[in-house]
Amino acid sequence: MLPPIVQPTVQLVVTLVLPPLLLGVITKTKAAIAGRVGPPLLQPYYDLVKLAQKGSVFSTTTTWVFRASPVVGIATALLASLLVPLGGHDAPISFTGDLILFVYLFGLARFFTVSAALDTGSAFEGMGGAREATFSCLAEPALLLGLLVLVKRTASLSLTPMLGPGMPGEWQTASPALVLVVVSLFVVLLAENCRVPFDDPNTHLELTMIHEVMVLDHGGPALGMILYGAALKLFVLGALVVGVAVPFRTGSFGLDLALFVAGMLVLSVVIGVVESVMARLRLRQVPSLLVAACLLSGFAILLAAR
Amino acid sequence: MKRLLAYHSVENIGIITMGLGVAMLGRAVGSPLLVVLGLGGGLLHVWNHALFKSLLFLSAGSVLHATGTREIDQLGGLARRMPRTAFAFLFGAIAICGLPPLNGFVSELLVYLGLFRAIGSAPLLGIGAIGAPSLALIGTLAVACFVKAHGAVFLGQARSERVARAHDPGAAMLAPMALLGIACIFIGLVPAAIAPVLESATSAWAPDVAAVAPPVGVLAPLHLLTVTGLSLLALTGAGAALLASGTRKAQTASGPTWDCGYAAPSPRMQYTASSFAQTLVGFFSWALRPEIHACAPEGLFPSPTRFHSDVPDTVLDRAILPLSRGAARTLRWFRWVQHGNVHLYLVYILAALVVLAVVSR
Repeated sequence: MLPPIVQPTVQLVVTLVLPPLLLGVITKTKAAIAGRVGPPLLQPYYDLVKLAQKGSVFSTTTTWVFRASPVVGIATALLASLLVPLGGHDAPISFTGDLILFVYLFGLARFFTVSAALDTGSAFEGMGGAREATFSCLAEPALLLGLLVLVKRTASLSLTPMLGPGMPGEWQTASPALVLVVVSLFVVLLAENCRVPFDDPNTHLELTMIHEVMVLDHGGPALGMILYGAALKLFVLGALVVGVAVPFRTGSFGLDLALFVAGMLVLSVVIGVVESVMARLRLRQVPSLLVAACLLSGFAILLAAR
Repeated sequence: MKRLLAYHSVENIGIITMGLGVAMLGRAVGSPLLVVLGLGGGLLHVWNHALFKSLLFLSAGSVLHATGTREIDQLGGLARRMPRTAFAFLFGAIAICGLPPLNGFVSELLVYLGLFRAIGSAPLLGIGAIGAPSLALIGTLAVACFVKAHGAVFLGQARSERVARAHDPGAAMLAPMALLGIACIFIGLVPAAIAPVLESATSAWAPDVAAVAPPVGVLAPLHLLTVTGLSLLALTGAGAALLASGTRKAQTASGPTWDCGYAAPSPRMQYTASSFAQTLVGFFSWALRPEIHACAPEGLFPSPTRFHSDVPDTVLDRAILPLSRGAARTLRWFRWVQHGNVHLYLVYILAALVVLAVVSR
């Protein structure tokens, strides 16, 4: 048997190294569907290295809050990743109620991101901050409702048992509820990570951006940290979706981890397909889609309660 | 600014009532876990609310003292002139939103755990399933509000000349804020220290339940909250060191806000507090009913025009005040009873005594 330190170390290494690859897979999928070759798969890694070596220009209007926001973004995403079980095996940190800490860590990151946007004193970034603050009011209850279904099914209050070895059994007994949960969590994933149909990560028109416009004034290493933090957030929320969606638990750590990584790559391809097929929704329609995600999870709770 | 903080107390009282409600449900259903978690969360939130609301009011008072105004839309950019007050307000804002690692998170966690346990038992499933997402919605609305308040007052550029004379207050005004802030982070990082107090309160309220129930420290992960809070601070510190090493003096320059190349931004172009809240107010416009007075510019060379929007308090301005005015108008009909003639007042007293003697026989 391997010493018990190996499993959390391998999980930590996967958490630190894999996220930019997911962004690369999404971009490559969109390029393939559009008939282009697209940037190389490892492009986000090259971008991070390039940004780390650049100089920075900080606005004279900004305060320490502006410099704190990339740092808080990475710290919260890292701590949240320590709470999520990868492949159904124990997360490094697990306790009763850690799903609340999980949701509120993203709230803390959002607090600092929107504050940094307001810190620049610019109209565009304030607009992005206002939109982000508004749409998160609907995305967080949807996320919590989706997690509530798992709480009801597994009668536990921690993410490790919820996404743990009991998942194949849950799929056999309550698959309609779990299908609704997967769809709802996927919609929340798109909303929280600023993907089409909520926000277009490629647009350069300020009036159509939400996340991109909040980070307009960051550059150099700070922008690199923001890029990496966004990739980590995609990884962590994707780990939730893959944890529910993959109905196999072989019991062997290596095989489960390989299944998990394969699931994450399939999820990135699906995100790329969704981004290529759909256009961004008009801003007035975004609350309707998030309310629909809440309702799906609400129905799932009713189904799970029988 | 103070009005905003006062309205926020309504939200926090709601959270306290949720906790007390969970405790009472637990007593009715006979679940000791619900009683301990609900009462613990509710009482702890009373304490926490006192701490962070006082901190926020003290920093708002410091702003009023320095600038002479409470209006959020006349302030802005105060963080560079009053950094300590700005930090105190940010601290209080993070605490009131219930974000880790401060004390608001601990009490909200206890209430959440109570609601989740309620989901486990069949008759209370609906209450838990509606209560927990509502609490999440409340939390995100609080984040939106306090980001707006903090950002509009302390960040960005100054919107009027009142800011130019502002400066940090002396130690006499800063020391209480510091004490309250230390209390907030103490409860947030070491919640196990106040668990015995919560248990003694629970055993005073429901002694039969408290004898049976496991202590709060077992039901809620108080020691692990300390671990996660400290690791969050450690990760933030490490990240800050990393960023500082990447942005050394030699590689860093400063300049005006880039804003995607906008040539001449002015302070009036910034987002104001009401524009920040506009989408949310529009989403809830069926309840809030905002009033908008606007004349659109007309013609090829339009003259200057004005825009004014106002959100009156739905309960106070639209329900209570009109009702009380209507009641006053109706009851004015009875004014003739109060005519000032002492002899007739003596007749009133005699008549009342006679009626009482007849009725109570």
